[in-house]
Amino acid sequence: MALILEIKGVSKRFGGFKALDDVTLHVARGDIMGLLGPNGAGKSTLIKISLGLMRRDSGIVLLRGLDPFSDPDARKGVGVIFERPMLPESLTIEDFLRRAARIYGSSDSDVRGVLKQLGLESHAWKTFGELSAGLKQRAAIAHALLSNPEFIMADEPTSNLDPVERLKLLRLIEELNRDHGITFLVSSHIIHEVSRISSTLVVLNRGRVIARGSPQDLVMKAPIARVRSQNPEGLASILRGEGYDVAVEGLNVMIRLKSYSDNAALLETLSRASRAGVTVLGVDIIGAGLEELLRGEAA
Amino acid sequence: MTRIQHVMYIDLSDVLRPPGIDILLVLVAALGAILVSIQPVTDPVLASMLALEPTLVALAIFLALRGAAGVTWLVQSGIMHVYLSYPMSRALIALVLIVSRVIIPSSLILGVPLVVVLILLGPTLIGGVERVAVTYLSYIYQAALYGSLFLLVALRVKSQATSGLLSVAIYFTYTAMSTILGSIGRSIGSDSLKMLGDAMHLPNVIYAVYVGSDYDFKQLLLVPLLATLAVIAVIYYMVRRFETL
Repeated sequence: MALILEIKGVSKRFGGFKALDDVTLHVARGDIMGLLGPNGAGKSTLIKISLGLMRRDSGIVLLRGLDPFSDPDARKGVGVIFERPMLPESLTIEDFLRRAARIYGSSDSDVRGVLKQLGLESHAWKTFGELSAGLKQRAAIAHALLSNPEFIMADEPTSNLDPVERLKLLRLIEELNRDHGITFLVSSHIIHEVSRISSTLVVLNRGRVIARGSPQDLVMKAPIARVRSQNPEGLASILRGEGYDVAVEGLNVMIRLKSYSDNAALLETLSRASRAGVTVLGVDIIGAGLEELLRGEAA
Repeated sequence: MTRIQHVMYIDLSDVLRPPGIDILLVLVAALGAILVSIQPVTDPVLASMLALEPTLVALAIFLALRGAAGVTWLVQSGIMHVYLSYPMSRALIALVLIVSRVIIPSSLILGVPLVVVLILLGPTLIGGVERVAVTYLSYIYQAALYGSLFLLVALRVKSQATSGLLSVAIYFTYTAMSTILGSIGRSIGSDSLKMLGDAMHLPNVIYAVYVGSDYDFKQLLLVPLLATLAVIAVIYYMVRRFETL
């Protein structure tokens, strides 16, 4: 398995705060790796260290087999989309992208191509500051694509987008991976977004890798039952009495199951609760959210 | 054009964006014109210094606020991420910042009043064009010293307000030290203190050379040496220590 990014035992401190603690992960060529974690988990720090924008305190980082902090060739063919997309505001998008294309060794026709691909043609004369949040994100993606990338690191690329734009971006990532073989490392705190495109997920919390595996494995690991009831507190009390890990959210009672095979036992408990006068309006068995994965770590 | 030139073009478009630079150029041009018009000057070096001395003060403030504090904005806004994500060494990026945020603005801002003086006092300046060029170069060195120090502070503190304030403080401390050392040297009769104070402002030494006053060759080297060290410090810091936010 050819690796495009190797991170071994990387730690990073900011004063007394440990941002990364002995993190090890590998991104294989052709893969889409989802990097999951809540805000402050260390995702952005890990991406910056992987690009050589930050020093690590210890450990090894090899991007395309080279140390990105000391060897700029490591970043050849590596595109990046930052969480807060920002490009110089003193040039028009087209002018800036033409300059960036020359830095990356791409041509003017490549610039026209990415402008068209990302629907930026009619905005090419605007400066970055004049674009909407969605268009800014597209401009940042266009910039990343001009690097003739074999690998793109995207730090929360959907964070500023509306649901329609999010979906478009996720589709674009899938297309680029499928049609052009571009490897992706995509960070997010929304498990359902990254799990739909990623072949591998890594969950980061408080600077440590707490889970890794295929999306299916991780989501199956901690299924959740969402039960709607007219008396959620009463139902929660019954379920707690049966030993379930329960949280009340409005009219929903969220029940953390040990596995999908727990369904039958849960349904029996709900049936008893119903007979005891607690109205059950509906039951959904859903995949784990980030919170559940993190709770799994704490448990 | 090479990669470094394209990054420089991008960075210069930020440094030289209107209206700040335009207003400053008009001001220093007008100031230069007024100063050489209100007093009779026949010496090309003195004429140049009359226009360039107040320009250097304005330039120092520009370098602190637009050049160096502008770098902290690059860091805070995330544009520095973009620069550093290019397949270019950190040393080259540091060099781009020094050229686009110190050398080119200094050359431009010091050059415009000189052109105005040339128009107003053409025969005077053309008669000593090589002396005018050396005087101009001495101001560039002086500005490069200030600008590189400001850049170093900006890369270190990464805060616009702090780097702006610290840069202005460094400038006034340096110029005050130069004056105080020179004055103390003269009052207590210490040649070395007087020479050190004078040497801290290279154009003074150049003037002394051309008017035939006493000077030591080492005085000519102090500011270029300090400026070179400041440039090396910026490159070193960028290569070894600098991190984005």
